[in-house]
Amino acid sequence: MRVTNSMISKNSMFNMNNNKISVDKLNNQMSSQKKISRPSEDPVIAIRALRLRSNLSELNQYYERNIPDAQSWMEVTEGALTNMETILGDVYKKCVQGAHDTLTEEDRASILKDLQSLRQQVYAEGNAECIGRSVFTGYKTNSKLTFLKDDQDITYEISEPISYKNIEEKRFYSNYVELPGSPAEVQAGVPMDQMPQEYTFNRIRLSYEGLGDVDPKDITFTDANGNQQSLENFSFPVAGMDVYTNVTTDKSYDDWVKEGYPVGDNEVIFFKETGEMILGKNVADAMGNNKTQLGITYTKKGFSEGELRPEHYFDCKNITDPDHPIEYTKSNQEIKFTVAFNQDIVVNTQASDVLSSAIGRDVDELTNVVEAAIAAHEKVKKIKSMKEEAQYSDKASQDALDQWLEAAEKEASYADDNLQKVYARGETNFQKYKNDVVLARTDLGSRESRLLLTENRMSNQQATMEKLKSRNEDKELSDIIIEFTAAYNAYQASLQASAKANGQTLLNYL
Amino acid sequence: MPSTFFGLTIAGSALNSFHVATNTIANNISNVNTKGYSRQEAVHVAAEAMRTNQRFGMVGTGVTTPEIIQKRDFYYDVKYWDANAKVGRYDAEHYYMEQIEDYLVDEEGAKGFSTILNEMFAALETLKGSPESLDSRKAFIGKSQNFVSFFSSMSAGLTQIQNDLNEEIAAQVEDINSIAQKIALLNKQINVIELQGTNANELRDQRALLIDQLSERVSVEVEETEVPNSVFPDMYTGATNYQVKINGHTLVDNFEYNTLKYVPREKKINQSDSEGLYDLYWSDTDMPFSAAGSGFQGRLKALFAVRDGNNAEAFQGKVLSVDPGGRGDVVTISNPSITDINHMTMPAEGVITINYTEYRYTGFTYDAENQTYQFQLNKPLSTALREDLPGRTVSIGQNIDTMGIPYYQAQMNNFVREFAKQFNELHKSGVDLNGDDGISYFVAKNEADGTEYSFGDHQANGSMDAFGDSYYLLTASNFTVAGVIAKDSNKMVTLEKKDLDDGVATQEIVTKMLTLKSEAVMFRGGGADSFLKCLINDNSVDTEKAKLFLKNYENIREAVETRRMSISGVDEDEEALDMLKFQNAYNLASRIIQTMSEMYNRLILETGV
Repeated sequence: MRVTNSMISKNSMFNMNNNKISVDKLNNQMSSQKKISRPSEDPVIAIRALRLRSNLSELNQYYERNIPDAQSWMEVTEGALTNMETILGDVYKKCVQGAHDTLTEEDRASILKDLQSLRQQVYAEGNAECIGRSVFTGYKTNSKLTFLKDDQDITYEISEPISYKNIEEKRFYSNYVELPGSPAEVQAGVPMDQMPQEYTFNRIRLSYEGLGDVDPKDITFTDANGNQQSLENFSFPVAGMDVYTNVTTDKSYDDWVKEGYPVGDNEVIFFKETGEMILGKNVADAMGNNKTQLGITYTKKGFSEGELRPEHYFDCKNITDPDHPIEYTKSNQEIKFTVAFNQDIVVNTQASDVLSSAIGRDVDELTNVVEAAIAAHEKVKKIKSMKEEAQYSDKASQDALDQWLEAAEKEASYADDNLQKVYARGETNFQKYKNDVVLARTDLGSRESRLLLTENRMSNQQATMEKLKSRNEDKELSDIIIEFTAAYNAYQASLQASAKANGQTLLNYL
Repeated sequence: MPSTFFGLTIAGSALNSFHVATNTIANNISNVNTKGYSRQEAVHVAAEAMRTNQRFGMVGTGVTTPEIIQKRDFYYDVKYWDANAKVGRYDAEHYYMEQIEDYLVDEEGAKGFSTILNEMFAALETLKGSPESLDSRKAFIGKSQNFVSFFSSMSAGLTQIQNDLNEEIAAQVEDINSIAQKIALLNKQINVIELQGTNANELRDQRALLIDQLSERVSVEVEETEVPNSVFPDMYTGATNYQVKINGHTLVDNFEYNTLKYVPREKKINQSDSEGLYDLYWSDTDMPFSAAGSGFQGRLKALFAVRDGNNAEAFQGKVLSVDPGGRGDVVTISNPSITDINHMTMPAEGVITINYTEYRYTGFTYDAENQTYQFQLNKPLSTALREDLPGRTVSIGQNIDTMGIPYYQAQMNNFVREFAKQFNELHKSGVDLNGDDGISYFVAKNEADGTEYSFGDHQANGSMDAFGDSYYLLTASNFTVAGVIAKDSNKMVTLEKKDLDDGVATQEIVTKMLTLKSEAVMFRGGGADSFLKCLINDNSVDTEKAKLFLKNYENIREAVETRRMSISGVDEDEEALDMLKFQNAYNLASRIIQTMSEMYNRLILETGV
């Protein structure tokens, strides 16, 4: 084939260009240390890189955002639970003290003060927040557990479930001693039938007091078929015959006290002032035997500071504005965070699982019995001092005062007895409440440790994925340098060859 | 007996001839770097012998140079033009495919679709943890705005590429027209010269060079036939008939030439096309000139393929019936190739081709139950046509088997419509923080007046009207987040009505939204995150293929060019040798003259005096 000089120079150019392309490509690779600079150079690498990057970003989201968020939430919860445990422990100690030791006057006064402050604190812990969101209230993160200040207008209609397990004993006292003020009253003395009396009844205590009117139809029980029926239909056999419960809801508490606490055996009396249902003996027995589940719907207008908000514990309706009731349904409201691929973790603890609504009421009762005991002993002290007084030094007065003293001391001994019994019950109750909190803490702890494990695993996976990503798209610098040197050498060689080949022609030699 | 001085004449003829030869060599050497130059050779032919009445009979009369020819092989020219057309095509294809690829890049330095999608769903994940928090909502809304602006900027970028292609098509057409004109002119000049019996070597070279340029743009066929003498068919007149055909149509026919013209389309063919894309017609007959047909090569073909390529997914169907209605007839079409709003690429108003005739339509509706379309034409048809057309094929636009800009626009539209629909369904199932029902989160912006379409007419079964408020109106370019939500993050929906008071931190709706990333079937059988992977698949394979073919055909072209140069190229060494040769010959011839002159001298002056 005839070869011309221009063919030679053209080919030299072509080859030099090819070498330059290689040098350019390797130069790019050296700067970026990536195998490809465009997807079209190797589509498989490009698509694999996309997938790895997408996985890595998801992982980073879990590792750097979700897991720390979950951890901070759980830390706040843990702090609050620890405090609650301490508080309940303190109350428990007071109960032990009250149940087993003989108390002096100072003891009683100090117990009273402590209980009042603990009462405020225990629910306040439930208002703990994490970044402005309440942690114990499930999905209702924008509302607190308790009322933060007194609100006299807010009205709720609450449906509270109760059962035979809530039946407990309560002692009522009549004929409180009223200190005589004048000699005439002193002379009157205290007749036998005016002596303080003790009555013991079965009662179910609701979660709130100061309620609105309740219709007997609003109190229901679940019958054998699982249907809800009005409590008036609750029947039980008495002496062979089926007797129906007599439900009274319109009696005033004060009237009942004045009448001397009358309760029929088949009767159930609901007191809206104290939020209690007193059960007659037969009714209580029947309910205990049948393990009856009950329910009651009542309204309450006006809540004071520190009281639990009903929506976190019960099905209820906020009927402050009767035209626009707001309905709340008690359900299991778990907040889940995704902390790993296809793995959710529950971060929140719900108040209804940790703090029973009965705690406050129990503390109130403990406070009440201490106050009663203090008052009773005050009366004894007063009468004793009256006995020392000159105006009552005559025998008639002294005898009369002895009667007063006897009445007062009887009242005091009843009060002490009641105090001890209530505190003994409080001992059991608060032990249980404290255990609830401990249980919640254990559950939280196990979740926290699971989260820690996940964090560890994510951190490892992150390292692995970075490695995979790098292996896919990065090129080892030393390899690139070797290839670059080879390409550059080839380029230099082609330059030299071109110079030689295109240098001289025949004309140079003529 | 020939004349005494005959020897001089013979030597004289030699001098002339060698002079001419040397001039030819000088010409070759001067043109060694001229593009398209074929080396010329002076042909030496022994001059006609003369009869003498001597014993030795015929005697030679020296040398003549009847013509100067050029060394050129037409075969290699044809092969070169063939390879050149392919190189032109794949070069253009590679260049523009790489430009599309730029929009699909997603890496550390340049945030692409996958990164933006990941960021949006990461913000959604954070939102799941605290759905009522205004900060989390605002963060998610911000990321979703990035998401929508990716699509609008990519769509705008693709439209820009389409416009660039359009302009280049116009420029190429101008080039073709001017080349045609020049070739016709050269044909005339060449014939004028060659009729006189000489060779128009330089002009032929110029003409071949023009064909080289033309072949890069379109496939060319060249035919040169000799024009015989009509009276004496065996006699060659010297003139030739030179015909140039592009894509099968005659461009230049000897002295006549045709030109192409580019006419902007009045109505778009694809919904997301740019306005005023050019179609090509022959200026004289107004016949359409199709550059994108299969079997054609050249730059022009690649430009049309990338500009109009729809992966052979143009709308097609069969006429069911033609009924009168309103301003024009209504054509009902069955067996459509597009049965899903997401895949619709037809513009709301445009041109529909029924039985190879074009009609204008001003709107259409789709009935998903029966899978039929109804197109409203802009004028009534004759009764004969109404009876003739049922059963005929219908199409909008041409099927071009390349994944060009319309294809990528359609893919983006497909994705945003499905994604917006699924997300909006979830968003509308609940209430916002003010208690109002959820509105569409992703909407389509009306470019003309700034209002938003929120798809109130969307029907679950898929029926739609081209002018109704359905997802058909949503395209990648007008995809946006509802303005009221962007301004006030309270309006975003994360909870159902019943949870408004009962629990603002419920996670159900957000959890369902999170499944849209990869679990919900969103695009070509995969989740939302497979969008970029599918497109990169499509594009990078095409780009790689174009690059490979380009390299191959460039190599082939190089090889053919080498062969061509082997035959036609000027070799300096060869010319130098020839020069030496002729110089010596010239010297020898002049020596002969000198010798003869001495002989004459002796004869005349010193013989018989």
